[in-house]
Amino acid sequence: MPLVKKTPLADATEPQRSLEEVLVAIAAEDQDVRREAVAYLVRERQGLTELANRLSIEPCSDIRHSIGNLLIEAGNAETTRIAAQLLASDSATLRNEVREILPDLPGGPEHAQVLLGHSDPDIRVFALEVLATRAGQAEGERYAIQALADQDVNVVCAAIELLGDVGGKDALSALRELAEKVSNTEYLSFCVGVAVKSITTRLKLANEAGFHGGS
Amino acid sequence: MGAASLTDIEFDAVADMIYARTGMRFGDTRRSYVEKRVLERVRVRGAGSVRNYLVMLLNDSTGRDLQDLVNSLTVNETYFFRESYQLDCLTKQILPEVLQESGRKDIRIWSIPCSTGEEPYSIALTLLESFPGVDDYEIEIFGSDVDTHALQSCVEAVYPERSLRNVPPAVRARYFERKSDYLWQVCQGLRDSVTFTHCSLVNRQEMTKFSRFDVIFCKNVLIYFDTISRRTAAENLFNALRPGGFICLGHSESMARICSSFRVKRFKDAIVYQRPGPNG
Repeated sequence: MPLVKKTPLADATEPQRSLEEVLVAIAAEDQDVRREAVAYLVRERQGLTELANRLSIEPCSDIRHSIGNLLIEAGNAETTRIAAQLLASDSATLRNEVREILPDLPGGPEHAQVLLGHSDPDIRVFALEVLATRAGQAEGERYAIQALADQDVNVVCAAIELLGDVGGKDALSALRELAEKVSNTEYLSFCVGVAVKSITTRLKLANEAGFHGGS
Repeated sequence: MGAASLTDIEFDAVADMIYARTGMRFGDTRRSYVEKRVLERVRVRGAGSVRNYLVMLLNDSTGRDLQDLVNSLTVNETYFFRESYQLDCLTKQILPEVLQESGRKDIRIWSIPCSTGEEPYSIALTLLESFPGVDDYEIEIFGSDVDTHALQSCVEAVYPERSLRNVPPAVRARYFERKSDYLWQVCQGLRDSVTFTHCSLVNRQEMTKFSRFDVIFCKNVLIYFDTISRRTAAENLFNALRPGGFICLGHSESMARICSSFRVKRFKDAIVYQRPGPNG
């Protein structure tokens, strides 16, 4: 009965490489050379700033993924700042990747708070999403309520939507207040209505669960 | 022994140690599950209290105590030919595509986590029974897990009747030997065809030993990981595959939300994920 074929596993120990040489290799034309160099730096936890800078120009998504993981595990305020800048990238893929990792980057939520004051409304929306998902429910709700006063309609819409997802009683009164102000704007009124309905349904269910749980 | 529960600090300390070792994050929702097993380990080790046991874990340079705790927390319920549609997909669609693209005669397949071995042995059985020209290829099959007790069971390869409920009688007759009224052992030839090793999906150093796989079966484990462990596991799995290689997840799992580096590949029998080939 064949099918027996056994070779030893690869040796996990690898020769030490000079940092300078590996940092050159992360910009090599051959993607396999770059992949190997980045994997080495990820394992050795070296070259953090260089890798963070590499994020914006590295064409292979799996290599960017590895860099992102390293920045989550071993990054610092500087690498988080470099990564967060990519929220303004023209590449939607890159923006989305940074949105994915920013909540888990060291100091990421704090950096997102700063970005709430960014001049670009798209970045304010991203920052709001990060904060609303990463912070606790009450904190996320607080940021979203603040964002209801934003000058940009897209930020306001994002805040309304987030409140629909995470909001409670405070959100309900803030949304009702907003509803009066935007009563002549059909789309915003519609969004507020959907969010209010979602919150009231959730609160009602929570009340019922509490009642039954206590009986 | 002291009170039959863990304080918040004790629970968090245990959860952190397990997380660092396995990538599995046990939160408050699974607290009683963890507590029960920790208290059992406190009893078995004669530690006297949870606090003493934690000190024992922290001071154990061999890591054996923590490994025993991990072993008690892992779920090892499986059986032969579970999710057999993926095995059909392997022989009818995945491997023909891999071999056509590469022109190679060697195939490497990895089952991680392999639990008590039913999956890697099912892969071997399926290849022997349904893969045309199986003897013309050099096929290597690996099974890995973080649970060392489960790995020992893999090597012994003795299974109860219920594990074999999906094994057709003719296949059972060819590849299993009866050990008792309700126990069966995988035959020696098949046991020799699967290599079992310890491996944690989130341990980069350990994962570098595993590479050039054509197909990886990694089912129902990512669901136990938090976001960061999932990302690390996805990175390690990607690197363990050959370009063009495939990964099969559990039917309720998706790689799409974890890592955009894989491509979704829809075969007739299953949806799997592929590391892009050398030409993108």
